[in-house]
This record gives sequence, C-alpha cells and structure tokens, in this order.
Amino acid sequence: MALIRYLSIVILSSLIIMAVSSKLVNIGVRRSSVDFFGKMNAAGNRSVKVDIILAGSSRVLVQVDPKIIDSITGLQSYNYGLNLIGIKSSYNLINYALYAHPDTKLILLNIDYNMFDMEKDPYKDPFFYAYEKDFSGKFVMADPKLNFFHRLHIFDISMYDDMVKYAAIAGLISPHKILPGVYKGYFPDSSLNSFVVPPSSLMAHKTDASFTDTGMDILRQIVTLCKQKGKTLILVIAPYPKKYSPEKYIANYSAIINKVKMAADSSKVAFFDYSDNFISQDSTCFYDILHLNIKGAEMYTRLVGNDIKRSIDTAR
Amino acid sequence: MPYKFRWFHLLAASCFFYMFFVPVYILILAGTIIIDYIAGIYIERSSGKKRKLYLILSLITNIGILAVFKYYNFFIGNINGLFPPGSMLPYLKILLPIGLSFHTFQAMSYTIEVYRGNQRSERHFGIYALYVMFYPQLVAGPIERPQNMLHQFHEKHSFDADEFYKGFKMILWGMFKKVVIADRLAILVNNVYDSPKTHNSTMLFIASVFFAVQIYCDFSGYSGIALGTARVMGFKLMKNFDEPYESRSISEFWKRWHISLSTWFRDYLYIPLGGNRVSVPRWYFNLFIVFLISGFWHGANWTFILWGALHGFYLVFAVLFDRQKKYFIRVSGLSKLPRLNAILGVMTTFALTTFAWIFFRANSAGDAFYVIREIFSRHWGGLQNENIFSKFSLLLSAALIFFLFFSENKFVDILIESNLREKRNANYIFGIVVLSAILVLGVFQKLAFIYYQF
Repeated sequence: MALIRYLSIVILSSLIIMAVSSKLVNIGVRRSSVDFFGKMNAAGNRSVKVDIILAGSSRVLVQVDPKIIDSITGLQSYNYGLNLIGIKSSYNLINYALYAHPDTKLILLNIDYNMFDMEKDPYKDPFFYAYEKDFSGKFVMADPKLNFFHRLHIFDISMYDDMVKYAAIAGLISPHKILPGVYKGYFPDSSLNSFVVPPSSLMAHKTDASFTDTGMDILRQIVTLCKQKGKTLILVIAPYPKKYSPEKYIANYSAIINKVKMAADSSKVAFFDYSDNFISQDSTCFYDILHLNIKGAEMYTRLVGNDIKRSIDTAR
Repeated sequence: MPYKFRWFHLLAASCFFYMFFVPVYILILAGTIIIDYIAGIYIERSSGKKRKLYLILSLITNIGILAVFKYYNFFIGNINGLFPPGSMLPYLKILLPIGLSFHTFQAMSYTIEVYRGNQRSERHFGIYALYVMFYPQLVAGPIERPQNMLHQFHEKHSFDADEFYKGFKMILWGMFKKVVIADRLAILVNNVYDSPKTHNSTMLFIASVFFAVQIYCDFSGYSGIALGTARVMGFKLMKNFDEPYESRSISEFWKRWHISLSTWFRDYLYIPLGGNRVSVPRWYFNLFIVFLISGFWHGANWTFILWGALHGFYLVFAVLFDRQKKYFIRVSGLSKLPRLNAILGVMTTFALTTFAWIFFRANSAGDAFYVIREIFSRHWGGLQNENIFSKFSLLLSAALIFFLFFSENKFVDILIESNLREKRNANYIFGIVVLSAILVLGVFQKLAFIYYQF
C-alpha cells in the first residue's frame, strides 16, 4: 500500500509539474523577441506592415539595414536574418511571414554555400511553433511524420528542447526585449570594425561544403511558393573578401553556386551574385571572411536597395 | 506467474529485447550459448588434457566470433593500408551485434570458472541461456560471474515492496544521469568532436571535460537502470561504478570504474599472466598489456588502443615513480595536510583520465592529436555555435554537473538504499524532483548508450 501511494504521488506530482512547465514554455515562446522564436513571432506579427522580406543567415542579419532599403524603395522592409539558418528554416520563415503578411511585394533571400545541408540547420523542426493552429502542416520538416504538430502539448518533444526553454525563459522574463541598435531585426554591431584574420590552416586544404539535393529541392519550393503567391523573389550572394573568397577553401563552392544559378535561371528568378564585386576588393569593408563591417554593410545595403527598387519597378 | 515458468518468461523477454536490434544475430548468440553450455558440462565431466581442450574450444569459439564481427575489418583495413590499391583484401559487410563484447566475456567467465572448479556446470539449458541473455545487462553489462548469477535464477523470488521501491529509485537516478545530464552534454560534445578543426581551444577544452562527465553519466546511468530493473524483479547484479571521479590515483580509478570489466581482466588475464608476483619488468609488461587489451576490447580502432595504452602507461609510470611521489609528499608537507593531498590526488586523476578520454571520444587518432595540440596551444576564444548549445544549456549543464558530484554519494546513494518507512519526506522529494527533471529537462534525441557499441 505504501509503495502504491509513493508511486502515485511521485508520478502525479511530476505530471502536474510537467503540465505547468509546458504551459509556461508555451506562453514564454509566444512572447519571445530574440533569436529564432523572436523572428517567428515578428514574422507572425500582423500589426507591422512588411512589404519586403529580407531573409538569410547572419550575412543578412548584420549587413542589410532595413532603414536604407526603406529610404531607397519607399516601402517597409523587415530583416529576418538568422545566424546559420539553413534552407529548410528559410523556407519555413518565408512561408510563415508570407502567410501573416499577404501584401508583401518582394522577398530577398541570401544564398550561402553551406545552407543546403539539412542536418546542419540549427533551428529544429517547427513542431514546437506556438503559432496559428491552421498553419499546421505547412512547414517543411526533416521528419514529415511530425507535420501535425503546431503547438506545444504536454509530452511534446518541445518540452525537452533547450532552445525552446531558453526562448521561453527569455520571453517570460523580458517579453519585448529591446536589443541596443536593433531596428526592425537589423543588428549592427559596432564591434565589427576590425578585420578578424582567419587561421592560417583555413587555406591549407580545400574541403567540400555539405550539400544535399533535398536542400536544392527546398530552394525550388521557395521559388514555387513565391510564384504561387505572386511575389517577386530575388536570390543574392553577399560579398566575400577577395583575398578569402570561398572558392579558395571550399572545393565545391562553384558547383553549388552554379546549381543555384541554374535553378534561378530555369525559374526566371533574379539572381544577383555580389560575391566578387567592388566591395569585395576593399578589405576595409569586412569584419571577417564572411561578414561586412558597418561601412561595408551600408555600401552593400545601398547596392541591394537599388536592385530591389529596379525589380519592384520592373514587376509593376 | 508460476515459479517454474519464470525462467522461460525472462528468457523470452530477453530474446525479444535482443532481436529488437538485428533479429538474425540471435542465431549467433544461440550458437555460442549451445557451445558453451555443452563445453561446461564436458569440462566438468572430464579431466587432464581433455578438460583443457574443451575450455580452449569454448574460448576459441567466443574469441573467434568476436574476432570476425568486431576486429576482422579493422585488421583488413590496416593490412590494406600497407599494400597498393588494387590488391585490397575484401571487407565484411556486417554490423556489429549489439553488446557482443559483454555477453562474450560473460560466457567466457562461465567456462573458465567451471574449468577452475569454482562453479558447477549448469544443466538447465534455459537457465544457462538466461545467464548469458538476461536482458537488463545483456547489451552493456555489468559483466556478471556465474557464481553471482546462476543460483539467483534457480531461487524462488517473491514480490518485495522494498526491493521494488529501491529498484525503481535506481532506475529513476540512472535515467536522470542518462537523459538529463549525459544527453545534454552530448549535444556540445558531438558537435565539437565531429568537426574539431572548426572549434577554438575553449570549445575543445569544454567538450573534453564534458565528455568525461558524459561518459560517466551515460555508462553509470545504464548500469543503474540495469541494476534497478533486475532489482525490481528480485535479482542482484554486481555494482559497476563507485564514484570513480573521486579516485586519488589511476589504480584506484580502475577499482571504481567499470568494475565488472576491470575485475574480469584482473581475474582472467592479469593474474594468469603472473600479476605482480613476477620480475619487475614482467610486472610492468603485465600491467601495460592488460590495459592495451582492455582498450582493444572497447573497439577496433586505434583511438581505443591508444586510450588503453595511455592508461597502461599511467599505471606503469605510477609504479615506477611511487617512491619519488611518496618522498615529494613528505618533503612538501602534503603528508601533514591529508585533505589537500586528497584533493590534489582527485584533481590529478581527473585531469589524467579526461586527457585519456580525448582518444576514446575522437573520431580518429589524427583528430585526437589535433584536439590535444589545440588545447595546449591555448587558442582561447568565446563560445561558438551558440545556436546549438546556448549559454542557458551551458549554465544548466554546469549546474547539473555540480549537483551530480555534490549529491551522488552524499545523498542519492543513501536515499536509494533507504526503506519506504525511512526518510519518508526526503524520498518523496527525491522521486518527484528526479522524475520531473527527467520529464522537463531531459534531452530525448534517441541517443544510444555509448557502451552499446562495444
């Protein structure tokens, strides 16, 4: 009898703690304003007008300034850049942003040579998105069986994911955290002004970037999605410093970019390769081998802004 | 269930458990069980050279299976490396049967003990099969001895609420160590060790220390679940871990880490080689070779061999310089400060074992040397890959590691062994906290136990 009482109390109490935690995580994630969940919450925020979606990795986050884009185009842009984002999460983010902002005119997606590896995408499958119920099944998942999830429930795997818990705690403690320098998702870091020299081993041996055909299929799905919704899509490659061009250390870089270019050409999607333009010749524009500093970011944003304006004008 | 059918029920459950991975491999296991069962009976019945012959036949069968499934491709790979491409020997396209090294060693201990006269041969085939296949310890030990286990399968067990309750607590604590601590640390460790060249010294150092804790929590967690599962059913398995990171020397570490394996090697290899009752150089050789083989037992890879060799070297070095160490302790005044001496001993042992774990975890010997070189070149920097392993995870991991080492031998072991009537409130709190932590903080990413691969 004592054993049954012990087991019952322990199990029931733990389930109650789990249910309360689950509820708190749900609330916290919905209120998070930082990182992946912050961007998803921003994407779903209908009170903000978004004409131009700027998507991609940190090579969008820290080097495309929406203020400059807005001043050139006269439209409202939002920087949805996320560190290390892969093609799968890019699709999900664009899909969700288009769902919440049906009047969007243009999507700019930065292409990175390492974004086509499905395994490396740091943002987990979106079955823990605490968003609209009727958006269930519209995300690309590594495991299609999990497609039915759309919000947190007790026993969801989301309970166990550190990234979710971190976002939930951030959302509960400071729901609308204002990061210094943040303007509509753009994060200009004033510390990014001196060039960080890469290790000498970088250029010693060329290595292959991970690439999967599934990743390319998802890029085609992004193209299809934009076409179906009648939106203009622009694919870009942000500048790399000439001295440290990825071609020098990534063996399959050209092959990957050619595939992207072919996919863009066959779908008649604009593809602007800025990787080797005049900014890349100027080493004082870079923070490191992948990122521009503030000076470079401003130059690059003006360049992109003008191309966006031309694309919108053409579409009209 | 009636007592006379219980062995069958347990055996069927064990077969189901084993067949869950690669069903056809049960035939290999069945083959070795039949051979060892017959060998045991014949060893007992015969004498002189025949007795030895039956033992050798049994050992050759067991080691032969181990050699084919575990070591063949390793040797072929190394031989092929010596010859030009085109004259390559073919590889076997086979998967390693799960827990092969564990149940092979357990089966070998049976025939050796029967040969030595320490154990009567088991006449009940089902019970002998259960001894090899008992599912709680089938895939990752503890590697049991026939004297401890076989009689338990013959005994009549009746339900004991206290034992059930203690077993339940052992399972809970084992699960906590596995899914809350080990699998959380594995996120960072796997990320760093899968591409060490993209990480700075800080990350390599943190990952190496985390791996030392991960492997302890992973393996001791499994052992705890195995012991607890057996205990719930009324069986007592041997203890496999005894707070190994509190050891003050490497030799003490091996008395506390994977006890069932280290005593296996002691009883069936080190002592038959002569142990320490031989000339000094031979003693050093015995120590070194036992650890070298122990490394090879873990896996057919140079990383495991180097790991074993390093531990062998540690032990030989400790014996060689034992006098100097004692002299240093005396003249430095550490002998008058036993607590400080003990702390220094624990820290040194932890540092040495952590250093050796680098070889154990690295994907190749080249990676291991790279990690060591980078750590010692001190290219420190900030945290990397924060999306994968956030600062929150790092803080949580540090807190959990602190909780583990602070609580395990001081509270948890005492609580687990207490009865339902004793420490009532503490036991309720333990159950609720640990189960809630598993449910809320656990990392459920289908990460297999590290020792399953052996």
